[in-house]
Amino acid sequence: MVIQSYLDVSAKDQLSGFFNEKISGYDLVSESLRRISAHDMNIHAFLHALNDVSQMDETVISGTQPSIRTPLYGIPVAVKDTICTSDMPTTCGSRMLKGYQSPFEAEVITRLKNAGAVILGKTNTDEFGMGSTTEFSYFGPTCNPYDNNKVAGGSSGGSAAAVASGMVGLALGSDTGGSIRQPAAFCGIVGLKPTYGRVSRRGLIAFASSLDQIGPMARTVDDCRILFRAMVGYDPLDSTSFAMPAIHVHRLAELTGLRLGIVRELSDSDMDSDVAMIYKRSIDHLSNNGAQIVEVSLPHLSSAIAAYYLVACAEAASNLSRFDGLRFGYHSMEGSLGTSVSTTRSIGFGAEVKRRIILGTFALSEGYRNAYYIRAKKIQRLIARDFAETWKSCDMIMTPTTPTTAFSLGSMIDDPLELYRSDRFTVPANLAGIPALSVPGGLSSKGMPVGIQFMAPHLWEELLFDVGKIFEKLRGPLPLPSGFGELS
Amino acid sequence: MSDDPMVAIGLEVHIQVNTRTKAFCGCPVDAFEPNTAICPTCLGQPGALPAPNREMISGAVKLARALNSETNHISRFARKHYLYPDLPKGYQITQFDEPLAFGGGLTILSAGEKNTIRLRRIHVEEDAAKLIHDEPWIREGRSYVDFNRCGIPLIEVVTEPDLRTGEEAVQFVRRLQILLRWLDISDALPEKGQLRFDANVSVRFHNDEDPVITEIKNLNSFSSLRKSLEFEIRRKIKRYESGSTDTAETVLWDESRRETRTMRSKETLSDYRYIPDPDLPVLRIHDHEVREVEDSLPELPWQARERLVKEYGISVEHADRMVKSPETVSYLDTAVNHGANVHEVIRWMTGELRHLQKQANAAYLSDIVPPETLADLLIAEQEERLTGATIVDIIYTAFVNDVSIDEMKAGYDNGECSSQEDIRDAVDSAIREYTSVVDAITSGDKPGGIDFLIGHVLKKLSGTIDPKRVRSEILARLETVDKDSTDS
Amino acid sequence: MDVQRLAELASLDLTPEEVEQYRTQLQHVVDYMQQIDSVDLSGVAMMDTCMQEGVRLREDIPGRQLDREDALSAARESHRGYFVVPRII
Repeated sequence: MVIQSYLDVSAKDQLSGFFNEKISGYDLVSESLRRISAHDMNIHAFLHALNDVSQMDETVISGTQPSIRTPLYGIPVAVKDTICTSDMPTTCGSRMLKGYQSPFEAEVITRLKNAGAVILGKTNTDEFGMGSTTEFSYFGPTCNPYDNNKVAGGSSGGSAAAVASGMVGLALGSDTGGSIRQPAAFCGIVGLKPTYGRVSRRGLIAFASSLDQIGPMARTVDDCRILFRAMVGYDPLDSTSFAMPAIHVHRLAELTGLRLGIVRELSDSDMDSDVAMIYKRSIDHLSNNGAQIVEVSLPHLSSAIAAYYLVACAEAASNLSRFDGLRFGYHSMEGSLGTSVSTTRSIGFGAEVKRRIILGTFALSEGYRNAYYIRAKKIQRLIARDFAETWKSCDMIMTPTTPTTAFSLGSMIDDPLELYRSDRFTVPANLAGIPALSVPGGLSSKGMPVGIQFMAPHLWEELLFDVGKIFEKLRGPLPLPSGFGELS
Repeated sequence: MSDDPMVAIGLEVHIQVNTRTKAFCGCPVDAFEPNTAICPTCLGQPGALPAPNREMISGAVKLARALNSETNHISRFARKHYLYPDLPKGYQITQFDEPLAFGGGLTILSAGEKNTIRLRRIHVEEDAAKLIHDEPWIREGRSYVDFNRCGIPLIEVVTEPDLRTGEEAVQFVRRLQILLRWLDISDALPEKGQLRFDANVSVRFHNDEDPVITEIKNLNSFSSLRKSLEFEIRRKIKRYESGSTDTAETVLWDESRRETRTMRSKETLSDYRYIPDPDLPVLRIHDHEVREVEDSLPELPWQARERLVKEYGISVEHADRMVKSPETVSYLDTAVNHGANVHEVIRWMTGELRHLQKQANAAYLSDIVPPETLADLLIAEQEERLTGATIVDIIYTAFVNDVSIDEMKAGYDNGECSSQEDIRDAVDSAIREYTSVVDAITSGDKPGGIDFLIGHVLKKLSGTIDPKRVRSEILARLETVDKDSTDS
Repeated sequence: MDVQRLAELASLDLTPEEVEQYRTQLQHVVDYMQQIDSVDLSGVAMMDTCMQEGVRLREDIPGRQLDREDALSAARESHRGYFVVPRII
């Protein structure tokens, strides 16, 4: 496939294009907007986009070479609609926040703007980040660019599809139990869940506060890294953000000496044969090029889903208590106070959100707290310990990102438990707070992307990127979805 | 064995802390117009995060140490969930099973005997918004919400049920109020909502009975605290005597009916689903921080009172009048240490100086006259070098004219100064003599005429006189002249 | 699982059909969760957020605030500078 435009080259090349005056910000953004208006009715990645180029920052429009070289100068970035922006609505994919204008913008948005990025638009998401297909968005699902009858994944499905289809090169997602990595895997792109606390959560509309992280999504590991570096860092107004300096790893040029952990508790029966095949092939790529394969154990892996959903739903139920329609958002004008609030919440929230609120309230309620919520928090600590133990014998752990390729639209929404269980490879990293990167491993026999997940100790994102980059090269070029970058 | 009913009263006291900003955000605490001190955090907007106030914590630690409570090295913030329009997040950030401090006590007098009321715990939390229901200007069928108060830091002090009467309860909170003002932690004015109480009361009739506890909520004055407790105790005794059973209830005090009434059950919903707040890591208080607070604690009011009685041999009543703030005690100590007679100092501090302080709106007595200087003047009086009236003159004139007392005192010592009376007489006669000049001054035509009058007066008086004294006396007399002329 | 009571606690007004549907779906989930009963948790404390050194305290200095009109413009109802809600009895 011929690369049609500068929008499709790496961010690094885009930046040098700016500084060598080969392109202007106008060029990139207008190409992006052209593709969105031509393509997005099939994909439905965007909930809101700049109407036209005139809405861009003036300095970028004028196309003059910037006097200060900012890391993302003029590069368009799509933002998941759970992240607050002050000049575009933030809906969280929910009727509750339809048309909602946040009075403040998220810290990461401020940082991206300071880095020169152009916020192109807001992307579709499962309602309040709760879901794994983006089918739970009040505004309708997002389709997979590789097969429009399949889901893009969730909850950051809109961002994944926008990048995968070439509408934009960089996007922000958020990940609580896999919501960046799984759609990245389904759509054949790269996605990172950073170490918990490395990226400010201020302005991310909270799902599960102790698990949520905003992260970068892009077509290549290099681009993902560039976006990550522009976002990361301590925020004194986010009490859970890290004040420790980043760990700078010597750039890993080759794999010799790298100890790659393969999890004993993961068996072939845990995944589709397509996924298993690409996973095995990926392990071979790395071991044939110098990586040492080590077997490691995560003894509490089988309890991860249960612990995750109990903790996440309990915190979600708590975080969603603020939506009563009285100060902002959807509101019912029905009579008494009690009725008004409960009607607002019943109409404003979709079924999956309501289910999770019930489950979360259950896990915290008197008589059940000890058996459910508290036990789940203790299992979480055991899982974190399991990982800490593995780092004694390996540098990174490698798994498939998901047990299957993208589901068909409509196939999973009636079975919550099955859908929850499909997150079993991604939730452990959220529970432990460690960083995890999903890199495409190849296409299945049916032409659908399969993602490979790398996990590392706290703060070792740079190692993930280094190994991910080498893996990309060894894997070779990934076929792009049909219609990529086209205008009609 | 006693057949007398055993009353047990416990208190929960909520104290608004004297910080500049709120507990978890930078909004000011002293806004007057409704909803003018709000931000995304205290308004509970989606995406907002809490950032805890250092002064709130140090105020709580100060109070804990002054009450001999032990601070926990680790304490946690918790979310207490209930839905109500004054709680924008749907939960209050408070502390649950790991409070900031525990134990300690405050001594009161029970039937003339010292009695230490034990404390159960001290913790910090945020205040809720203010609700208005009954003003004539609000719309019908509505309640109004002002979020200025929402998020203001509170310290909660919980006692063991060691109090026995309504009067003791009031004594306890009055002493707590003195301490809070003493340490500048809170102004603690119940009428301004800075001090609020919940009380629990039980009456035990036989040794083997399990007494029923009634909770009285939202008391906002000393008198309603006392009256509601006395009412409940009487009611419980009457019930027992008539043979009917008492039920555990939560009640409010109805001032107009002078009785308690049961709160509706919905308001006392008790499943608060506490979770440790995932947005706030543990609160660590180190030993050295506690020691710093302890070292900076001034002598406490009751310690000072005992010492003053012992050291100076003054009565308890006099000591009480001196123990108003750390500054008054220090003022007394300094003046007495400088050689003045303690009773004289007390007489001046509670008399003329207090009068001047009020007139001048001065923050401290030492702004009027430093304690060492007062001591010097009083010693001069004792040695009959100055009269009491002259001392008043000196202090007043020095303060008004901003002249050094020492200079003036020296003038008096040398017998050079005319008394205030002499000056007044001379000014009066000058005003009567030069009516045209007076008219020119008061009409504004010739304000410089005052210098003419000053010169004339100075000629008439003997000795060195500060012209400023004359000027101020003239101005004071002219004001009354003016008034006389407008009246007539 | 008493879905009706939980819904009241969470201020959700569910139809009888929703109550039934959620009960079935969530019971399925809760049954799956039972496996956590068999995990040995002796001596294990609940997981902390990763901030080992403790929460950082903010200086008591005023920060940025919201404009009242902006905040009120999104409200369900407002009047004379107040947020207005149905009467609280």
